[in-house]
Amino acid sequence: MSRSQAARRQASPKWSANPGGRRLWRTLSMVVLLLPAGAVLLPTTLVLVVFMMPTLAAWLVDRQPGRALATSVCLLNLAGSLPGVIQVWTAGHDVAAAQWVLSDPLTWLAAYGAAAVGWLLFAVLPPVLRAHHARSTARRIRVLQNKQETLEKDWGPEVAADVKAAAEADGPGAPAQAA
Amino acid sequence: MSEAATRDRAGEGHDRAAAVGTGAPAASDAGKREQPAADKTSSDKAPGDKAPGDKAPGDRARADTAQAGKPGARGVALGKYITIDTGVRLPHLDRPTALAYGASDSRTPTEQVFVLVCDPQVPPRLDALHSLAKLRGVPLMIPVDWGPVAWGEGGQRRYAICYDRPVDPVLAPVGGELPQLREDQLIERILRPLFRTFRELYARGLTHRAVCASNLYLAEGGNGACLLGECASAPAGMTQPAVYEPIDAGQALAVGRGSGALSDDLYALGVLMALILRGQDPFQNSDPAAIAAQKISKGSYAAIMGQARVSLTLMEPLRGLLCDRIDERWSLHQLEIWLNGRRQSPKQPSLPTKARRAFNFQGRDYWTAPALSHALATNWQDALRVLSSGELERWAERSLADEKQSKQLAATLASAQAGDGGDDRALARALVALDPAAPIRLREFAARIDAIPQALALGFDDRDRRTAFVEVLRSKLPQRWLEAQPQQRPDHPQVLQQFERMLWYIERDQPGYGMERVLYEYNSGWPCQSPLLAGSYVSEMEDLLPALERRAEQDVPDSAPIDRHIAAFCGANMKPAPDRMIQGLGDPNPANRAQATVTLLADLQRRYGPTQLPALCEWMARRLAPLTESLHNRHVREKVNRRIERAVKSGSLAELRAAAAGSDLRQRDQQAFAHAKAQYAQLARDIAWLEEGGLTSPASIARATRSVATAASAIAAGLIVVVATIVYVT
Repeated sequence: MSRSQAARRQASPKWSANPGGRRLWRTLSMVVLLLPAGAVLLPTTLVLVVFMMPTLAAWLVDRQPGRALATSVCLLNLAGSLPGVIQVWTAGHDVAAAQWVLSDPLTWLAAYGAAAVGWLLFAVLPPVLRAHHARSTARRIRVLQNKQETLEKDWGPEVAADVKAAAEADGPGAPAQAA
Repeated sequence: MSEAATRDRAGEGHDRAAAVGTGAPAASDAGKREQPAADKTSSDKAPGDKAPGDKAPGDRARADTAQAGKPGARGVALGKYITIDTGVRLPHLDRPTALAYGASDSRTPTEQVFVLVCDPQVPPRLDALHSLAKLRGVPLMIPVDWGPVAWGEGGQRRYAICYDRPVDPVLAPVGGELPQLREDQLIERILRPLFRTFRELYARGLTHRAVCASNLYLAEGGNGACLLGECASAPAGMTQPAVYEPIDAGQALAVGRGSGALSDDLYALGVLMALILRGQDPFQNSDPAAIAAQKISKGSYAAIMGQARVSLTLMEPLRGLLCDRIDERWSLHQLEIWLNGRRQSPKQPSLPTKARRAFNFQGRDYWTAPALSHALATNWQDALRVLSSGELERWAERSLADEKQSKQLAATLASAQAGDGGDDRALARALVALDPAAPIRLREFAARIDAIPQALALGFDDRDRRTAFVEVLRSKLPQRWLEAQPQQRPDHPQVLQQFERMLWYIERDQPGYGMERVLYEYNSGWPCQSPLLAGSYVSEMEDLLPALERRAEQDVPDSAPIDRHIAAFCGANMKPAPDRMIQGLGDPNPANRAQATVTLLADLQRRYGPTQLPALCEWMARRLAPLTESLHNRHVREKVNRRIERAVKSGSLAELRAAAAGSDLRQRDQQAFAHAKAQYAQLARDIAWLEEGGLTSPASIARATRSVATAASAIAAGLIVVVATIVYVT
């Protein structure tokens, strides 16, 4: 890109330069598309709105980038809501069918139970993963140290001279591997 | 060796009381014999012309050692046919720098031969030996065979030359009374045979340079043919008594006289005639400087003959041969004319032109420039004071009759006062300007221009001699000497070039160059002076590796097998010179030096043999240790070591060179090592990352949790959808 082109681009403000505005436009366009769909599929929409409340809650709670918690809860919540939606569709797909489905505790249990499993995964996985990574770390360190030993055996201690010199320069207490 | 020392050595062996062997004719019958062994090994033997049992040059040398070097052995082999009987000393045949021993020749068992065993510090004239051996039918001692022989215990080797044993005694031992000969005896028994000898020598481009009464064999009473003694056991002119030398050679050191020219031999013949006619040597107890001073002031004829009367017949050749100016001295042709009976009036002596006023130096008046030059050269410290006082310049300007010489001297002295090179050099230049015919002199150093390298060689261990030699070259004294000559010769530019080349060598300090290179490059056949070869007498390339092998068999030295002397010896004697390999010997990196050494040794073995040198390989393998140790990779190092061991067992230096880690291998090893280091550092970084919680940190766990949970949710949701679909569809 030439310098003049860059200057022109910098001088002319555009909407794409504002990420907040872009997100607003995207949300509005989705609402415009979904609103008619929601109106046409009103029974389904009613069931989903009620059953997908845990996802909404997760969405509001999860502030991490990528919103992994919300995604997990959403996926399972959606899967759990599927029986209720199918019942609405099989019962004629009208508001009465929706009311009937919403009055069925089993469908509630399926939707909210699945969402709970999503929440549960986030509660249970960290200690499990910590234990797993601890073991994996020790094993990988052993493998790497073996490779270093092989190199030292083949090339002599000079091959580690730089690493050891750097470790000594860092301080007597520093580990030898700290390159 | 000084003149006095030479005289002493000459006196040792000339005991006339000892009986002289009989049976051998005066003239050599060497024509019946084969070419000497030393000749064959160097040049004449064709590659495929090997007799049964004949060996490679190196094997031959080793075989000689094995045969003759045993302690207590009386017979020492010289070549294939000569056996030296070390128990039979022949002191009457000794030469000043060589001892005579009885010997026998298996080809001619009835004829008596003797061998001169040369002083290890004074090499013989190897270049002259080959030509001398080809002479036939002249009354001259002809070498029968020659070469290095095992001598004494400890594997020492000396150079030995075999001659036919002369029948008659010497004319007069050194310091002895000269016999009275009639005029006709002098002409027919001495002058005419020596004329024939000189003619043959001159035809082969040789000079004898040892014509003196103590080296001439003649029957008692002057009846019978004379035999001129040998001339090859010492460098040309070195053993000659100073009285037999022309003025310029007499002014030089004994080692600085050089081969000279035929005119030197003719002068010596003139001196010999004069001394015989006079019946004694008037300079018997004089030192060479005094003899030269006398000859300069009076002329050689007057100085030697004194008041002695001589017939008009003999006065003519005497004056002609003893003429001090070379261009006026009798030539061989003039002598021949005289011998053929054509008589002319005797030549009048041409003394140097007298100055208008004498120069007083050390209480004596000097009327001629050569006389003053000689006096200044023999009193160097006083001469320096005279030079600095400016008296010499004034005297040269006002008193010297030769205007050109006066101007030259003034210019030389002016440059000296300008501080060009120091007082010694200035005085040396002034001496050249004063007497251009004299040798080049600087402090104790004095040598004719063609003998300067020889003077260096014969005093190489003398620090002062080496310093003087370097100063002579750096102050361009040879150039000034050549410029000062009244007559320029066609070979002067070539001589000049030689001295410039010598200076070029000296200015380079790396192995293979320097003073050592000059020593071997300009003294053909000079034995290698390396301490590693001490006593081995290595004068030919073929003998070098066997000598090193013998050295290694004794004990492997800590030093490299190629030192400065050996490198220079190789550079001077290998044709073409291995300059690239020699330059590698000066590499600052020990590994590269070792590589260059083994390459040069392998090249030597390829060119000169022998095929197996296990001890030398072992020696070299130790020197290759830094080269092998410089390899980083253990496997490569072990592989190279195994190959080196195999090469040592085979005794092949070429294999050893191939086994040694070459620059390519070392470069690849270095690159691989750099890669290994980078790999090691990366591993260290990975370990550090893991140890610092790269996988177990809360952030990492959270990240992993998010990923795993999302994936698990997706899978579970998918399964549910599938199951639900199946259930409701069916």
